[in-house]
Amino acid sequence: MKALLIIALFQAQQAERWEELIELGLHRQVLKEAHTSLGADDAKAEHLAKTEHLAKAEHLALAARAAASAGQLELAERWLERGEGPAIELERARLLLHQDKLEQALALTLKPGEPPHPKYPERADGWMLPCRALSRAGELERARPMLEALVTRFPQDDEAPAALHLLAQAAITGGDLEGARSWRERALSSARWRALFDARRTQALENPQDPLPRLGLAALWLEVDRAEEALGVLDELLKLSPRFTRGHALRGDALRALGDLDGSLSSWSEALKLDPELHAARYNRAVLLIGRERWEEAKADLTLLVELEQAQRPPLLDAHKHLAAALEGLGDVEGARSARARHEKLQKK
Amino acid sequence: MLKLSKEITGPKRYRRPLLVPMVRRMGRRILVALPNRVNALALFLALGGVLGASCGQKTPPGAPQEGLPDEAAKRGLVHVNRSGGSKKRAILEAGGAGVALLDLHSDGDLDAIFAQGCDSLEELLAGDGADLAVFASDDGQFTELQGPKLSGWWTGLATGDLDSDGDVDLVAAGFGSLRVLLQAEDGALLPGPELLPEGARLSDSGAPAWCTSVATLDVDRDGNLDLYVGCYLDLDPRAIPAGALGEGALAVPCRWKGLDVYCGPRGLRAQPDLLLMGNGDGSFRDESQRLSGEGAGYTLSVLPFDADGDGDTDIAVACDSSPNRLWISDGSGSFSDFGYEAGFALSMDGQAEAGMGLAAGDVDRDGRLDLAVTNFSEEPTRLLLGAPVGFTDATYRYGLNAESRPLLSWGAHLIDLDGDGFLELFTTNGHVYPEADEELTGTSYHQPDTLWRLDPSTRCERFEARAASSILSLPRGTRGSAVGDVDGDGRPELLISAIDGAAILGMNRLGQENKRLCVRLLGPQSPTERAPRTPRDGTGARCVLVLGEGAQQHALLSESFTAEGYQSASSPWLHFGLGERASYTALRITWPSGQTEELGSGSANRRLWVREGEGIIREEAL
Repeated sequence: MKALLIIALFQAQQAERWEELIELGLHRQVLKEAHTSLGADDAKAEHLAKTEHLAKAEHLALAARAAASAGQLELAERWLERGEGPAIELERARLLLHQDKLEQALALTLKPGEPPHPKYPERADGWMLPCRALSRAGELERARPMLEALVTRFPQDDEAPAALHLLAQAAITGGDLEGARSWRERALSSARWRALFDARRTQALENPQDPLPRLGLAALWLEVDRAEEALGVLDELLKLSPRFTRGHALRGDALRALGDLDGSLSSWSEALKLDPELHAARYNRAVLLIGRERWEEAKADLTLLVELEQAQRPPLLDAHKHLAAALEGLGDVEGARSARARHEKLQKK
Repeated sequence: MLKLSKEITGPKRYRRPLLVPMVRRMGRRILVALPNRVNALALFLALGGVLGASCGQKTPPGAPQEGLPDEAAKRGLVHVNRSGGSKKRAILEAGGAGVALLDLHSDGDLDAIFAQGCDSLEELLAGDGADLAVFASDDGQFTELQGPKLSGWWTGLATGDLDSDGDVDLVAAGFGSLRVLLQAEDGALLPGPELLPEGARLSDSGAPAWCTSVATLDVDRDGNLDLYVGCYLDLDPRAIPAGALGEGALAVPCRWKGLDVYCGPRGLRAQPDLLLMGNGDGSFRDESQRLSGEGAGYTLSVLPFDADGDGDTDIAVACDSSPNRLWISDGSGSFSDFGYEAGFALSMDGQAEAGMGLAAGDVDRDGRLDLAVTNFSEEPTRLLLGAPVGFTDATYRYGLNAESRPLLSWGAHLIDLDGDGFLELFTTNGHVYPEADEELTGTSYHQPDTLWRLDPSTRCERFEARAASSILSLPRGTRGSAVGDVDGDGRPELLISAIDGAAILGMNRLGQENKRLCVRLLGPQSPTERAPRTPRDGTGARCVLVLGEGAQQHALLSESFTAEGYQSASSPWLHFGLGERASYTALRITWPSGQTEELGSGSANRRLWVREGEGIIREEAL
């Protein structure tokens, strides 16, 4: 039982990795690994059939995608024949799209009836592939509700920028120019995020020991309010580089976003222990300490901050205001008044 | 009875470049005689055209087996392109060069000019750049002439009468250089001063302007040819990025499918295009501010045409790895980018593709110009049909996706090579990365050129190369291409530049039984007092050839521009295929001046010279 669980975990990790490699354009690497683990020729396939249950549908589907990208359509089809389920069906649809067989692709990906609804709504490509077939067939308007659902459910998917662009196009066709502009702005912003995301992942693959790419990756996740993913990346980063101060600081931000205030205090404190010059971490910690009425500690942090030249302007300017609150909490009315006056004066500047 | 809209004949109105006016204008396109678009579509659907399989591979009935034999060497076109090393370590080495077909000496023979690169960037920086290769034709036999003694890495060529003296001139665009070469009385091309400003030249430090494609057009209709100059990206020849972009842990490797390749275009800064207004004497002034669009794309090809049928010239721009642009003129020569609105910027998958080359033609014979856009491998060559508003993407309806996906295509032409009245799509092909020949890439470095028949009632049909001598048979890496009747038989030939290889001349032996008409449109010899005027060489004139009577009546549309394909200039002659018809019903010309001329019926297999205000000034049998 334990062995099976280990195998299942390994498979899940491998599928995730293959998906990432494919998204980063490294199909050949996936294909080479797939040849080893899945077998390409019939004899090997027969041998592997005994352990077929190990070759999950997800692997076969990803391997087929890699094969198709290498122009090996027959091999892709052979692999798909060995599996079943949503991943396999959707990969078949992708192959059909390669061959301009739009109607067959739609039959595989849509439930019967109107309005069009995907057979596999739990997967991003379950929405995107039928939308793509409809768009190519000149029926973008029919795809519109599904595209909207896709960008709502999977806003960070690698297909999201394209889906947003298609929505802009659908709005133009419908004469909604304002709507088109808004969709396009979202598409461009999504594409920028995605390009950076892919660049960071590539950098992380290239320099697995270096913390910077992962730090960038975590920041990107936080930018789109995906603190859990950010935390995952940061934990991985800090395992590799436990003394990387900016990692601890960003971890504090991620934990705060997740509501784990104790955790974030602890991460910021760790960061400040390693590098007392991390002003943003100190500021964040102070604000949190005020919320917890830990006035003395907050005062200590804020007193350090207001002495800085950077505290004369945003974003550290509010350190004066918070210092006033901390001093008030400690009963130092005069000190609080003075800090508040300084804040107001600097604000006017 | 033929009915033509008067919309195109009225005086030019100056408009604000807003979408709504554009949409209205597109709805008021020229109404040319039918076939009825709806009926054609219905037939298309009935034949299973919408959701079927890919193109068939057929040799059309009657097509001689020799098809398009390469006779470059046999006819004296002995030219070998140089484009850096075989490994292609810099992006400059991968783009190859353009070609031009033009009539030097005004003797009626089409001469050939090849842009040329260098063996290495070091050679270029050492001042030992390449010259253009010039070949003069005498009835289709070529002799190499001395070049104009330029020195550079030349990419794009454009042609037109830039000084309004009645003969054709040349523009050579390159890496860090842009030169006008005016034709002297003896036919020699005399280089003018450098058009790029200081700071953008190769001799300056840093990345020079990299001019890829140039188009000649008259954007403000003053009768003087202007230049749209497509620019690519920042590449410092003294510090070519190698292996990766960026530094340290944040470097991003330059890879394609896991293979190490040259860097770019992604990650390198795109350069804005230029709009140079002609003074009518071969000199130009920079008025790029007339282009009001956001950002810059990696421009590779430029195609002037009247996108919205309102009588002025618009510009399609194919951009590599960035959205294509469609500059719509407001009539006064200022442009706004309507690429997104027109359905041109992105693919039907909602993605920016790597646009390489462009062609225009009326594929479905509905009186609107359609576009072909070539792309990178795994991206189909797109076919966009002109619609009442913008374009309708017909790539999948014609089945072009499955066939063209493995190809990386460059030059494109929508031209009736076999003279049957329907346009074909020709593309030059070849991958940018020599690494494409590694295993598991799904493509190859050398690829055969392709020709598809685009009869609108069926799926496209690929012409099969049956003879080894056909230009469609041998896998090569071809880039720039130009169309023109080299041997004077009325059938247009294809002149092609192969990267690091010998020039190719595909002689047109297709559709020998079909009738044809060749038309040369010319502006007035002396400029009219007031604008709008037609340029002396007729650039921008639009010609509608009406064929048949009654229900059978239909029209073929073509415009007189030389810039098309990839970095190249075709002959200004318009080539119409009449199929079995021995005559045409009418010829209607709309001049850039706003004047229209309707000429009566005439015989097929003729070559006509038509001058604005004078009608047919010369005519001869093919």
